This record gives sequence, structure tokens and C-alpha cells, in this order.
Amino acid sequence: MDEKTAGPRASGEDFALVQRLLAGDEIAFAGLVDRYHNRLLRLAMNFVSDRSAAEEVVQDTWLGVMSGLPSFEGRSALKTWIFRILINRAKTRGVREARSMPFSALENPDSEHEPAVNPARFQPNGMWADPPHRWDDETPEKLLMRQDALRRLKEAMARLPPSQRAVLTLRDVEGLDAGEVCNILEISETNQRVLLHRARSKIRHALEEYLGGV
Amino acid sequence: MPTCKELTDVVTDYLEGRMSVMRRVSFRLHLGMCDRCRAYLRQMKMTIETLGRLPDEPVPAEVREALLTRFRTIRPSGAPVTMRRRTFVAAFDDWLRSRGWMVVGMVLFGAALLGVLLGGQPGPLLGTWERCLLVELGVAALPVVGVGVAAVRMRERIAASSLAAVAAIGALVGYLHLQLACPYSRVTVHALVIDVGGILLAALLGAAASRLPALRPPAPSGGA
Repeated sequence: MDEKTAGPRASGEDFALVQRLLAGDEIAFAGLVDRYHNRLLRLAMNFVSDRSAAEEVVQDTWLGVMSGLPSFEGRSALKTWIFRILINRAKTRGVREARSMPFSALENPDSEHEPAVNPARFQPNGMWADPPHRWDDETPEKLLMRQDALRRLKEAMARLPPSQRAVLTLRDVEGLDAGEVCNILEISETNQRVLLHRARSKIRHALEEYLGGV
Repeated sequence: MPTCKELTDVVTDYLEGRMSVMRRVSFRLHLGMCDRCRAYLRQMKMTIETLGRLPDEPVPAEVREALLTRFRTIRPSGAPVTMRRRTFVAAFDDWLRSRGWMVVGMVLFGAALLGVLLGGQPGPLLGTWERCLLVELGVAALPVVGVGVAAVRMRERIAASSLAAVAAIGALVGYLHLQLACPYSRVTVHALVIDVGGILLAALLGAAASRLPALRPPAPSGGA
């Protein structure tokens, strides 16, 4: 089992859960499925061409989790371990399909400079001409309560190039740390940061559009 | 100082803590004077926070049921062979990582102090000479452990400089102890055996420890 050690190790909670799973505890497994299935699906969508392929990858991943559990050593958190299995499966499949997300996009994000904000919004001297539209009274909770806001957010994520979406999903949605993401996706720290920056800038812009009406 | 446009391009470097001190200071200076960029940074942070709270959708019942059936038939079982040991090693490692190398330094310092207090004094169990040698070997063993731990961690966050620091602390402690506590410290042969020999032994043991399968970081390989 490939378990690199960047990032947090498995918690006591993780070990307790693994122990229950190894004892054949179905409730524990159902809990795991409830917690991760859709997140795995969301992640898999970054790597393969369509939803049915993603569903197969996730199925594969669950089989991998079941067969890999006895050798789980806790060098990374259980969540990271599961995500790594998914990404390995997705890559294997990608090679077979040869038409999924090009993993090379992860290795070489466009070297071309991609501004975080539309340059037209700045004066020639680099100061804001069209400053950020304020949404200071918003909170994530309030925002996510609104279905249209949620939809806009998901649409913005769907529009991201897959490599940016993969990094954004792992880092900001799933909360993995930079080292773990570099490890799982096998990309350099700099590329990880570039992809994350571009993705975050676009999502911010989408929220600004929605909230401030740019 | 960066312009507003430049600031929006490096905001992730700032949030990720990947900025030199100078760049960080000028970034913050700009923020202090520019409420538009403060708003931009706030929005960026809120974007990240919002992404972290995306709600989970419920798993379709038939998918859930099918997976549970698989789980019943496969029944992953078998003792998690290395779990207990791993847990202990991992816990110790986390502790070491969170407290940093300061702890190692303090332990070494404490051992040296103990060595200074005990090493030179004749005791009821052993004569001065044997006691001195034993304490000194004990002090020499600590850097061995330190180097071993550092060697294991080399593949990760511990840089070569940390390795050198541990070895240096160990050598310094051994040397101080030799000078202060051992009555035979001025004998050249003694110094050669204990000092030079001790350091060589430490290096050898450290290298050997890093090859132990239980301690070696796993090789990168695919598959689950």
C-alpha cells in the first residue's frame, strides 16, 4: 500500500473505525459510504470523461478500500488514504481510456500567465479601477442556504479545467493540506499552488458576479 | 510595495505562507493602506471557507445497498498486523514533530548535565572509570537515536540541515561531558576511542537504522 507520510497521520478515530470495519461492522461501513461516496464521485469526475466512468472508478475504489483495509498502517489519515486509492484507480483507468483528463495538465499548468482578476478592472498604474464588489455581510452559511448560490458555485467549479478543479476539490473542499495534495496527485508544490490560485480566483469571481452583480 | 493588480496575483502565496519576509511585509503594508485589497482578501478567504462547507448529498439507496452487500460478501478481515506498533510509532512521531527538535536538544542537554553530575564521581556500584565510561556511552547513544530518527524522516520534512544539527548537538554534548566529567579525558587514546569512535558509530548505526524495513519510509508505488 502506498502510504506516504506528508500531512497528518491517521487519528485514533481512524484506527477505531478501521478496527470496526475489519471486525465486519456493517454500520461502520455504511457510515463510511454515506460520508465519502459522493465526495469520491465528485473527485472522480475530474479524471474521467463521464459520470458512468466516474461511478465505476468509485466502485473500484470501494473494492480497493475493502481489500486494502487489513494493510492500512495509518501513515496518512483514512480520508487521504481513500482518496489516494481513488486517484490511483482513476489514473489506471485514464491510461486505459486514453481520453480522460490529461494528467500531464497537472504536471504542466499553462506556463502562460493567467491573471487572477480581469486586467480591465485595473488602471494602467495597477490600482483598482473597478474594485471588488462588496459582499461583506455574507457568510458561508447564509450563502450555502440559498439554492441558487449553491448552483452558481457548482457551475463555476464545473467550468474549471479538470486539473484546477482536482486541486481545488482536494484542498478547499476536502481540506487536505498542500503536501498531501502534491503527494496524491504527484505534482510539485509550485504547480499545486498555481493551480489552486487560478481555481480560487475564478470561484471568487463567480461569487462576486452572483452577489455583487458585476 | 505591490500594486493592487500584483496583489491579486500573489494572494495565494500569501495565504499559503509561501512568501519571503520582505514580500510579506510589503504585502501587509499595501493591505494596511488599501481597503479595496482588504475586501479582496476577505472575499478570497470567504470563498475558501464556503468551498469547505459544501453540503454532502445523500447517497442513492440502491448504491448504498449494493455496496453493503459487497461488504458482506468480501468481509475484509484479518488482524491489522502492524496496527498496534504503528500506532505507537506514529504517536511518538507526531509528538516529536509537534514539539520539534527542541525536545531532542533538551533531552541531550539534560543527559549531559546528568553526566556531568554523575560521571566523575566514584559511586557504590562501579569505580570512577567504569561509571565514567558507561555514562559517556549513554550520552553517545542519544545522538545515535537522534540521527536514526532524522534519517528515517529525511524523505519528508526534515532537511539535511536538521540532521547535521542533531549530530552537532550530540557531538557537542559528548565533548562537553568528556571535558568536564571524565578524569581520563586528557588521554589521547581515550578521546580517540570515545569521541571519534562514538561519532563514527553513531553515523553507522543511524545509516543502518534507516535501512530497517520497519523504519524505512515506504517506497512510492501505485495500487491499493
